[in-house]
Amino acid sequence: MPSSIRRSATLDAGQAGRWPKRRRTRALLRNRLSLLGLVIIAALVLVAALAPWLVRHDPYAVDLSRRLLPPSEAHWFGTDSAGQDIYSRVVHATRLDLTLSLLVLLVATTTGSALGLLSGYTGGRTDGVIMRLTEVFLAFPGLILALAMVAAVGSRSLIVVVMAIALRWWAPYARLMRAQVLAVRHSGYVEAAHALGLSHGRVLLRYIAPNSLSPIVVQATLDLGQIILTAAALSFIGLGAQPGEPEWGRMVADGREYLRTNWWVATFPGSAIFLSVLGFNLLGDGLRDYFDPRLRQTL
Amino acid sequence: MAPYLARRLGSLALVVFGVTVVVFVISRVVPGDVALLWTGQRGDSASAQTLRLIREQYHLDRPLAVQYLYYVRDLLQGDLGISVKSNRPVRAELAERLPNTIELGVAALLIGVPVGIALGVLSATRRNSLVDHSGRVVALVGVCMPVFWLGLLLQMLLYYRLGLLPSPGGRLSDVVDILAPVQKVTGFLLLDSVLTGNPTALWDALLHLAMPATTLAMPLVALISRMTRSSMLDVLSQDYIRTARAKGIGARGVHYRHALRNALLPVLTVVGLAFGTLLTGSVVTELIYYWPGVGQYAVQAILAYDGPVIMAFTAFAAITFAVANLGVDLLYALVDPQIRYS
Repeated sequence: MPSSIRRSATLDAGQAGRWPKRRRTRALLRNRLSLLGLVIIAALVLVAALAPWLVRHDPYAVDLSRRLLPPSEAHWFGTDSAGQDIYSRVVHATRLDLTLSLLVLLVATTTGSALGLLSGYTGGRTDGVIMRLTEVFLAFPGLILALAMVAAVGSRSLIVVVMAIALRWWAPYARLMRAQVLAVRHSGYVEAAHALGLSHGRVLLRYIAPNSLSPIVVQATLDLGQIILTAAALSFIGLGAQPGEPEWGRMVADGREYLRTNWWVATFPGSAIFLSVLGFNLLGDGLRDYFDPRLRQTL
Repeated sequence: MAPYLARRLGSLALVVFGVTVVVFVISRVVPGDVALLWTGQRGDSASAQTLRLIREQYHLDRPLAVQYLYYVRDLLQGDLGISVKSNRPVRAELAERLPNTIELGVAALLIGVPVGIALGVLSATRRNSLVDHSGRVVALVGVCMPVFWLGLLLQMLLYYRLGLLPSPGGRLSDVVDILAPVQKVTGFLLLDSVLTGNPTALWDALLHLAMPATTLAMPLVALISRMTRSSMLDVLSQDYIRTARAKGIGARGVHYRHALRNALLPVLTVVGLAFGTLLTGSVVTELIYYWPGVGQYAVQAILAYDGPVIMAFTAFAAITFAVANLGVDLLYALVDPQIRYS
């Protein structure tokens, strides 16, 4: 049964008689929104990949004679307080922001999934310890743990920032993976694999893990938006990126003192953050609907 | 209920223990000398004596496990250490700023929860109407907009363009602070201005609170309105709602007397989650509105590598979040008769 029918059937039964039309508009709207998300993300990835060809000025070139110029033919998004071309910097920053967020996600999903697999598969004391650990890390609001970590290490290199953010984000994946493992651990095909004499590692990787792929992908897409937000907040506060490096959050921070007189300095990087988070959230919602219609929520 | 409560309290104690370990470990993973980092890095500004004092106070020359035990002992005695930057006890400095953060957070909850629920109910009962679509947009903006950017946009619009609200700078205008200063009773500015009968300061404080509270409330509105909407839609498709309709009860009665009551239960869990958003959001919000709260204090400490303050704030945030979630869970168990405590 197609997922959309099953979903709408439970949702709209109370309004029987009127629902077919509404269902159609709703499904269409959702598809369109997810499509919009996909388009935004594709555009972002393209911009990041083609950044060197898209920029119109050297994003690092300081020119104090061209400070704080409004958007114009020469500078589409205007210039900042150092005379740098904001358009080129916003475009260039796509690389750093996307790379950073994807790296966080990579570290978080692999660590989390591995621990979750271990937890669900072995059970017993290992399971207990890992689950307590996730509880502890989930008690920290993400940004705050990252702030503490970056401040403690006292370095702002990419790897430190990635680790600092991933420190909190592995935990939900561990729980997700564990739940998935528990659901299939005693199913027929896993028992059969065991009976055939396959090793534990092989059963885990070939029979159990693939099963959990779709919920992890959905979760990851939705989380990516939140990770971008955390990374941006971190550098807005002054800890995320190296000084001088084009990064959206830091650019908004730079524009803060010019809000009254030069709105464009903060507006374009701020909108870039919003747009990319929007893209990942819209796509994530669509994916969730596709993979798990029972979990329709956010939109 | 009692065994359930005991078990939950037990797991809370474990989490709190874990939080102290994590906070401690993070503060000590420094590559190099901890004392040197805390005094502002390269050692140029810190005299040898300050360094020695810090090493002594936090027992930095002892093994890590021993240092941790000292840390926990101090925590249990309510001693959060001394700020390296200001040389004052961290506990006193936190206590001074906490009322400001609490007033901001409560204001955000007072805006976010009712607005979120109202928006959610309207979106559910008038599906695909203008309200529903605007609700969707509001939710998307609330979820996807960085809090700092939203706050700056509000400042640009409401202060710089329209001049409707006072400049984002602390809790009171300078004029009011001089002409009608608020006498300190509880430390909560709004409460104190009411208690001491100071309407001028109260009005000014409310005006200063409006923008930051709205900024902080936006993500809450997004979270709560979406949850209310989907939960309301679920409830509206239940049999007892059909029965109520069949009995001839009007839409209003069905929606508010029958459906909303049941739909609000899942919303409660989101409020627990919202505390995390609130804590994170307050750091950024306080920063951009120069709000003299705990979050701004933490940011200053973080930028100055003021170790004891960072540790205290991180632990404080995690424990507040854990306790808030426990509170919400217990409330849930109390309100929902279907929950079993086994």
